[in-house]
Parts: sequence; structure tokens; C-alpha cells
Amino acid sequence: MQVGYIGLGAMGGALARRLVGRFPLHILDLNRAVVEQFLHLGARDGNSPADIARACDIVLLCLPRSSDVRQVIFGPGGLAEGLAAGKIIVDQTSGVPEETRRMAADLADRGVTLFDAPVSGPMASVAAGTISIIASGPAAAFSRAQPVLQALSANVFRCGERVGGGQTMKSVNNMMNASCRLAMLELVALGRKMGVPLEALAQAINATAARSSPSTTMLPALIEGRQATRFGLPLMLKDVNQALSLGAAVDAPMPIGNATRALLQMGVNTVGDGSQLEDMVRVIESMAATRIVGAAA
Amino acid sequence: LKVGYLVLDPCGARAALRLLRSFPLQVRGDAALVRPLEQAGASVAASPWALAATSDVLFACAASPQALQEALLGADGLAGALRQESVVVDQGAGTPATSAELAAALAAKGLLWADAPLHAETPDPMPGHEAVLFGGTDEVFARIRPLLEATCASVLRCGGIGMGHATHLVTTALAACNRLITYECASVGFKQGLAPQDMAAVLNRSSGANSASQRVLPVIGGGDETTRVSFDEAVRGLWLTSQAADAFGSPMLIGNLARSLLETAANEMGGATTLDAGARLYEGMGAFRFTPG
Repeated sequence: MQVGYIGLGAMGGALARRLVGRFPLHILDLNRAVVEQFLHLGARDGNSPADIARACDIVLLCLPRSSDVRQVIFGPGGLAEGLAAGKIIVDQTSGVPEETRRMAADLADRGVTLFDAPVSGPMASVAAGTISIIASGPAAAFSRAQPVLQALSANVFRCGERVGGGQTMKSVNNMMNASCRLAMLELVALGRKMGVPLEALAQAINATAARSSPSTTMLPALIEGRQATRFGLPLMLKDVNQALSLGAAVDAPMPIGNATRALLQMGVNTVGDGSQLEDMVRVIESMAATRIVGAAA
Repeated sequence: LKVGYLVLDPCGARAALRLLRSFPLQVRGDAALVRPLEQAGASVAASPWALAATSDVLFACAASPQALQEALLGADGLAGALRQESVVVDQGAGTPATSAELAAALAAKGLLWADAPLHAETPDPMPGHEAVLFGGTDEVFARIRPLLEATCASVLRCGGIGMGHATHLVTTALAACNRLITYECASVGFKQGLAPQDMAAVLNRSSGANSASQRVLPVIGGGDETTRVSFDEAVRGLWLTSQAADAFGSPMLIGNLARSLLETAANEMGGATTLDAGARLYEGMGAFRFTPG
């Protein structure tokens, strides 16, 4: 099976690396230095999306946004020019489900199947082969793509037939992560101001129904003085905005989600475009005029 | 060691029932809460004063710190009946300030204090989701530790007097937030076509996992019980957290929102309804109905 991968950024590049040596791999990226690294590892230069489409049975994409996916598929020299019936496109972009469904419908007329399979988890889990891949789409195409997806990770989920479901699930997941994280930080700040040691708060939160994935990863890291996450704050804001859009599209009120968005926006505004999710600790500390780590005010 | 329990609030009934499984227990308090304890084997004291007079350790759980203060230190308060060196263990909600005030007033009468609320949502143990949060001295902890361990396998020391209550304010508010965040995000996913079981399978292996996604999401729409905590009880706890946030000058954007949502739920469905009906709040707000599968 000939496999293509387009978009070798931080996440896409890490995912594509897992396919090197396991499949004949054709790659493409705007960053020539990254392409050269892959060629050195034994991958083949895809030259253009259309060439990759002609050469490959399955093409995976991991691009900044859905508009980039549309450009790579339907733009000049795009995948569409080389696709034939029976080929599969797997979109790993954290994209917009409705837009992904539109592209899938446009390709279906040509007998090409596109389904979404975004990932969720820390970068370290990509190399370990354990990152969550959340796919959604037709069973037959999913089944054919399974060997490739399994090579990427042992944790592959499929959320039904409807294209875009994986991207919806990822948005829901990221909204839950952000909301639980910020609720935890504001309450930990209160706990610190009341005089409770951070170690005691971490222990109590993680032993009770107050526990969350952010509390189990971030609080021990803060205590040990190491970084807990490597995730851009503007990226999290983008994900949360997308989750709110999904809610608005189906008339689902999201009062806590909107508060979460406001806090993240404050973080981006005050810390800047280069801010990290980790910086929300400082933002919440500043709002509460206390220190979560170290001696509380 | 004679152990008594003054049960004035449902949270105390849950803790007393657990204590009763390992130690002989004398109880008194709200008749509706005491009756099931008596049926489970507790002896009922002739009066609250008789309970206090015969207890080396008196556990108590009231609806508010003020209610407990009234019971202990008001006119004919029970503090007058307790023997010197007896320990009062408050398992209700409180703030560092109310704990310090009560502890000082009791110390003046030769009595000892611990705040040791049980963060638990069900009468039966649910390991991994509950703990006793102890605030007090080493001496008192050593004396009552076996009793606390009888109410919950996880007994955590949070610091000196008041720190058990302070930590409890944090954990109860955060648990409520986790639950509401889970309902809210699940409502979006569901209305977008995702099945609750699929959401549970993915989220609980991903970075969005939390205690509620693990316990509540898999049974959402199915009517299973995951908690005995009522809207009223949760709102009272969150009000205390809000008051503490105000007193300490700590913003609580999401926590206050959670309290308002639970107040809405209590107004619409009745305060005695349990937090499991929080799903119905989001169903009503979003004009849909969760269905399992």
C-alpha cells in the first residue's frame, strides 16, 4: 500500500515519522528542510499533491485549518487532479466538521472517500504510538485505512459513520480539558489564599470527584517545578472557539464554555501570541493576586 | 472510646452509616436522618445532651457552620454537656474562619476540635472518588484516625485547624464544575450526532477525562444513580465557597457560574433532587433529550 502524508508540521511530522519504514511513504510540506529530513529517512518526495494522489492509495493530511485542506485538495495541482475512484483521504487536521463533510461530499462524486481522524494527546504520546486517533466515517474506508492508522497509534477510535464526528469529538475533548483546567486553577488559587499547601490540594483533588486529566498532570508538575503541557494558548483558544461554534450551530447553550473562552482570551491578550497553555497559571495567579506555586500571598 | 454522631444534614447520615459498619455508634439529630441509622444498628441517645455527655468523640454534620455553632454553643448548647478533652469532629461544610472561631470557643471550654469533612457522593464507598479531608492537630489526628478511616479508605491531612474545611470548599466546588462541564460538553457532542457511549470511550482515554466523564457520562440518559448529593446541598457548599472567595479576594468565574446553574436546577426541579438531574438542566436549556447508546 502506497501512503502519502501532506503537512509535516509539529504534529503531522511526528505522525508521519511513525510511517517511515512501515509503508512506502510519499511526503509533502512547504518547509523544504523538513522534507529533506524525511527524504534522508527513506521517504519519497511527493513533488505536488496531484502527484501524491496519483502515486498513493491513501493520503493523510495534517494542516493548520480546513481552508488549507480544501486548497490542497481542490486548488491548482491539488489532490483532486490525481485522485481516482477507490482512493482514500484521511484528514487529521483539527478542522471544522461541517467543512470536512462538504469536502467529503464533493469527493464522493468521484468515488473517493474522505474521512476525518484527528488526534488528541500530548506530543510524547505520538512517538510512543499511544496518541488517541479519533476517526469518523464510512466503515469500509476506515477498515482499509486501519493498517495505516494502527501504525500511527494503538489507540484508534471510530465514532460512527458521519464524517466530521472525530473533529467534533476532538473539539468536545479540548473544551472539557480547557474548562476543567481553568476551574481547577481558579479553585486552587482560592485554596492557596485560604492557606492550604499546594501538595495537600493536589492530593485531595486527585483523590476525589474533583479530579480531572488536567489536575492529574498539571498539579504534580507544578509541585515538581516542571512544565506540564506544551500546547499553544492561541491554539487552545482556537479549539475552544470551534467548540462554541459547534454548540451555536445546534442551539446548545454553553455558559461555562463561554467563561472558559473569556479566560483564555484574557490569557492570549495579556501574555501574547507566543503564549502557552501553561501561562494560564500566571494569568489566574495574577487575577487572584496570589501564587499557586511557592508561598501564597 | 465512645463515639457519637449528631446528624443534622444528609452528608452526616452518609458518613455515620459508614462509621457504623466498623464501630458501635450512638446517634441523635434530625429524625428522618436518624431513623435509617437506627435500623442499621445505631443506638439513639435520649437527647442531644445525653449524646454529648456520653461521647469521647462527637462527630457532627450540620447544614451550615452557623447551625453547628448554634447547636454547640447556643443557649443550652451541647458544649456544656461534653466532657473535658472530648473531641468535636465537624464533617459538615465550613470555612477556615468559622472553623477557627468554633475551635477557639470549644478550646476555652477544654474541648478539642477537628474539621474532617467527608467528600463523598454516595453512602457506599466509591474508591478513587472520595476522601476525608482532615484539618487539625497531630494529637487529635492520632486519636480519631481509626474512626476517620472507617468512614473512608482515603484520609488526607490538609493542615491545621480549618484546612480540612478549606480543602473541602475547593474539592466540592470543583467536583460540581466537572459534572456540569461534562453535561455541557456532552450536550454539544450529542446534538452534533455523537453517541454518549462513544464520547465516554474516547474522552476517558483522552485529555478531557474527569471524574464525571468517568462515572456520569457512560450512564447519561439511562437513569442510573451516580450521586446522592442534592441540588440544595451542592448549592449550600458552593455558596460557602463563593463567600470564602469573596472574603479572600479570589475571583471564581467558573465556580460562581456553576453555583448559578445549580440554583437554576434547584428552582426548576426542586432542591431535594439529586445532581444526576443536572443532565435534565442541560436538556431543558438545549431543548433535547439524551438517549443512551
